[in-house]
Amino acid sequence: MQYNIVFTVKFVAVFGAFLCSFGDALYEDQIGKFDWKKELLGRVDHAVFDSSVSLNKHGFVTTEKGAIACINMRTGEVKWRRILPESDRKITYLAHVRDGLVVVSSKGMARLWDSASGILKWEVDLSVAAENRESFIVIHAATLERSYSEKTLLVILSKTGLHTIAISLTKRKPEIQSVLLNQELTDGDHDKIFVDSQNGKIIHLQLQSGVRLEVTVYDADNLSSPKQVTISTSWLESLAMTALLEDDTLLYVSNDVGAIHLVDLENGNTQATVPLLRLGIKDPVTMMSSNEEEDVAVHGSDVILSHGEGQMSLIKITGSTVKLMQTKIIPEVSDVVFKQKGTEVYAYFASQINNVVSIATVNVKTGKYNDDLTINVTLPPHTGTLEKVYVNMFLKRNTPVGFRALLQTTDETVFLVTQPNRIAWQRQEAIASVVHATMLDLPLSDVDAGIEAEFEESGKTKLMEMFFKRVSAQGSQLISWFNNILRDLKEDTLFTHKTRDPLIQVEGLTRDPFSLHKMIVLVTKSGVLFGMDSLTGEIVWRYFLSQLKGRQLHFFVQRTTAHYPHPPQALLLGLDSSQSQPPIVLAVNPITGVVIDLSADFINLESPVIQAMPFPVPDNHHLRPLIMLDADLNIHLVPDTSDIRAILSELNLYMYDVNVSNGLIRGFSLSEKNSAQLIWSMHLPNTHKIIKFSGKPALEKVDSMGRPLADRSVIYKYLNPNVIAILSESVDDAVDRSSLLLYVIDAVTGAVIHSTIHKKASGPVHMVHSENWLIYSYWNAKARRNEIASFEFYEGKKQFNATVFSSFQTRPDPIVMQQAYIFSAGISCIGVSQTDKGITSRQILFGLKKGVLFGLPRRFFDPRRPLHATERHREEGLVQYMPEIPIPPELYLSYNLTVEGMERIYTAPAALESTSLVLATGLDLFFTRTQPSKMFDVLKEDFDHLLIAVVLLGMFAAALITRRMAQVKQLNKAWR
Amino acid sequence: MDWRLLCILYIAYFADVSFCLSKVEGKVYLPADQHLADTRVILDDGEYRGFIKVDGSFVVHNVPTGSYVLEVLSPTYLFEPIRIDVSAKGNIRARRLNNLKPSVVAQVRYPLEMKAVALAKYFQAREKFSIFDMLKNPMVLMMVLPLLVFAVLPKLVNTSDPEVRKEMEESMKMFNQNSSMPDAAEFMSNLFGSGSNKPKAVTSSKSGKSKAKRN
Repeated sequence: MQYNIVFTVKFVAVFGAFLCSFGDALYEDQIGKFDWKKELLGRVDHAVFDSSVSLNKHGFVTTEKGAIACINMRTGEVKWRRILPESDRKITYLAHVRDGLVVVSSKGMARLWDSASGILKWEVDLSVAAENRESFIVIHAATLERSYSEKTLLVILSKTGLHTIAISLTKRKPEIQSVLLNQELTDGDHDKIFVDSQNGKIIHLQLQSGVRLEVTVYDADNLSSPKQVTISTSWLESLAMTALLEDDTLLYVSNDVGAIHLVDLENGNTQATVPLLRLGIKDPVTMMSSNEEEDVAVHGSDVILSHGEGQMSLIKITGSTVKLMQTKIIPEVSDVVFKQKGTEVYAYFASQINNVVSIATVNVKTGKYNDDLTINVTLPPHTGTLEKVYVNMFLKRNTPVGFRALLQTTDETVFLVTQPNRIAWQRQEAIASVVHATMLDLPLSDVDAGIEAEFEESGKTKLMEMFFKRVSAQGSQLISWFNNILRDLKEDTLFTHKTRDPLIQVEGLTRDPFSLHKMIVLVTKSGVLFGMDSLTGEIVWRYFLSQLKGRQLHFFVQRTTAHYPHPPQALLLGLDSSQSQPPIVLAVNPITGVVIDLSADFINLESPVIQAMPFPVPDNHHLRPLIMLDADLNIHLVPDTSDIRAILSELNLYMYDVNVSNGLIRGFSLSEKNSAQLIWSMHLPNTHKIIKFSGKPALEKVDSMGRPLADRSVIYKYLNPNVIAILSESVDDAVDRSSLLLYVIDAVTGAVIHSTIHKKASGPVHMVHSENWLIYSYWNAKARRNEIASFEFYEGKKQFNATVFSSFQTRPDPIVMQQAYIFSAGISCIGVSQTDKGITSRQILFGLKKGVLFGLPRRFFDPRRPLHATERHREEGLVQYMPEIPIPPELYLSYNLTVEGMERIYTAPAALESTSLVLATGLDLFFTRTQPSKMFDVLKEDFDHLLIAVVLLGMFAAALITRRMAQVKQLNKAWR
Repeated sequence: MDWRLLCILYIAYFADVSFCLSKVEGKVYLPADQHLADTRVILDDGEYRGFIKVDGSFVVHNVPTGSYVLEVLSPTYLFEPIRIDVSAKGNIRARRLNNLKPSVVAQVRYPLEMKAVALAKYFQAREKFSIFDMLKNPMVLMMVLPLLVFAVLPKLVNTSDPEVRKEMEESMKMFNQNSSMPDAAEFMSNLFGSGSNKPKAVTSSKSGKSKAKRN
């Protein structure tokens, strides 16, 4: 209770002091009007379908990012999602058992979730039994469902032992049995476990490459006395060429010998060796497929061998005779899946030719290909190749079976294809790993563009001609306005909102007057580029280049949409992480998604590109060329023309490079045409390693040069655009010896402007650097809390040179003010709001680890916050210093939504000075907008137009009536 | 256990290489069960997570030796964060989170009993239209009060008394002479009145006024 009081008192204190100054909370009816969230999962690892007979069909997936999700198979929407802890994200096994979902993580956590609600039923930590818990790794798992008893057995093979968990419907606590293996297993590729539901057995296959295959059979109820059979197979290299068939027969194919071997598992004796040639198979077998169900009891006696150019041979084994049933040619098969339901067994062949994916079906029992059961779908352009197919087969009334399939492609897209030849839905899971995002203005409408075009050619045309052009352009604007009104009248939409956002009333992908509607370009880790409509989050265009996967991707906007008729252009630079491949350079039109590959120009680059930046000024075509610096300090330009080289030599540019791996910071001059000169370099002490560095945003707009103080004097900001901040962490991470080292450096001259050391502090750090201030978060290792350090740099009461800034001028050292605050939540990223002219005060945006996007005015991080606030401080708008930064839910930009796994925050200005657009990327994608100083330039949403109109009309009417009444009264008086 | 002992314990944690993985247990009490599926338990900002069962209980597994913050996150309710200390032997102690003074030990019951402290308030309330609010508006007050003075005060004063009436007329005269403000009603009527009878109306009203005064 005592706590409760403290808590509420704290809340009251916080709100009493700041609620009036926060002022920026959302209204409840604003939900979903301008913000949207995309719930994503990440690259799919495992997928299973709902095995129950219920009507509402769901599928379940687990992903690389540790998400377990239930997907509605009709719409592709996520019904529920759970995220596994960061320390244990890898999932080894997923199965759907009755109404539960079994998930086994690689560190030995087995959990059963209620498949309808996603609520945990039970969890078991298998590593508890192990001697060395750190190295406990699950290799395989299987479920043994026995129809006669209530028990379902989950069988898990770890590196050191075999474990079973009995899932019982009557008992709440699962029973665990473990047995240690006699040796530690290496990895998953050489071991496999199967279960036999009929006889209650667990079969463990262990291959020692080129030596022998060991088969261990356990009794499911009593693991202690296994039966072991050793088969010496000097030619068997992998378990992919083995199959367990009915009657305890093991089949394996060896290409070296060119034969199929049949072995009896009971005694390890070879039953038969059949040469492949006798079956008419001349080429080596490339793939063997059989029923791979965990339960051996349902395995039949058929395998499919693929050989030669797409030849698929169905082979039946009866006793010790091997018979070729049928051979059919299906080219480009990537996966063969056996499915069994009741007595029906079918094999599905998934193949892809160009963009067309086809899934052919063969009835294994009869060997007949079933053309009715074939799905041919054309994947949308810019999709990768087929990676994995998950087939869901179900029994049907008229035709024996039907199926649908979940396809996963290399670009991390998931498709659900159904009969007849239809893509039911697709999920773009690549968006869960965005590496860069940009928000760009949309192009003008054609009519507005006409006027813009007039200015473009103003130099060439005559006055009268220009006059007529202007008149005709504005005439056409008027006509289109009337047409719009007429159309609205016809559709009866004149007074309704055109979009869900009350401030965006321009339909389609054209710029609205406030420029709130943007094109979001997302660059993802898997090499997919997306163009996304910021109003709805819909994907407008996408582009996929598989070579971009695994590269460091950088995105530069060279020309915005402001320069009609020149199309907008951006460059995507893909650098090889190992620095051995030449860079990939793509010119992208960010609005249409048209990509031109320029990589051919850089194929002969001898040394790797270490740094790239766009020109600060555009060329004649309003394009900002990109400068790339390679390791030999040669300069490469995109595009490379003599004009641009000439501009470069005039510009007197400097570049810096921070090498995180060896702590070397270098500055270069680009004054000569073809190569850069090293002008300064700095080595960080080898006790520290660089963890973060940040320059100021290029071409940043700063509205005021100084800050007025209470005594009516002005303190001028130190607005050096060349400042970079470098934070490094001590290599020694013991609490008492750990430290953080900050260097603030002028990147042109290499002069150290400021340096600070935080003792007993460590990373991770997140940083924002802008105007004359720097904010970063760090971990206070001693007090075990997050803290935020805030710096401001001032020139002093006199301004040194108001017109031009040069790093080479000798000017007095800036005055540095600094303060630190306690921040009581885990931070995953920090951003800052950005407005058109930079007049609006800034808002610091925090992506909190708990899934919240939180925005706080920057004045809470003003290092001039006084310990005791006086009237003078209040006049300046300074809030009294309090060690802890408040985190009230009112200031959650994401209100009650959970934005999982946030990684970065991107902001962009709108044409409305009050408004900044915010995009948070990570596992989820969240878009919203923020008004740090409230919305001062547009009428409030709840402004009552009707009331104002009624009042005005009423006053007009009242004036008329009173006038008449006054006249009558005066007349009556006059007659008196 | 006092703070010094705790310090010694911590030094022991970091000196001791052999890690101990423990589990942190507790139970979440929610006023209504429907939010159970949306409620999450995170330890050390999501490095470790606990999942809530139907009865509200949760276990965070594989927590190594150290000190962490456990939070219960719900879209509807606020919970108090708890600091969890896991000793090298795997013993667990729970105490209130105090970021300002980390050394203060205010132990809470373990296994944890997490109860919702308050409803999370994310939104600002829209100002609703109400007569009372409108009356509180200074602009409205400025208009309504003089109206009251003009309309109600004369009624209160006995106007039938000739002396009072004389006094009032006198004061009115003073008021009229002093005011150089344009007559708002007249201005409006001039503005909106039809052109043809405008001059007539004005003259008639003026003459009427002067006549009335002369009386």
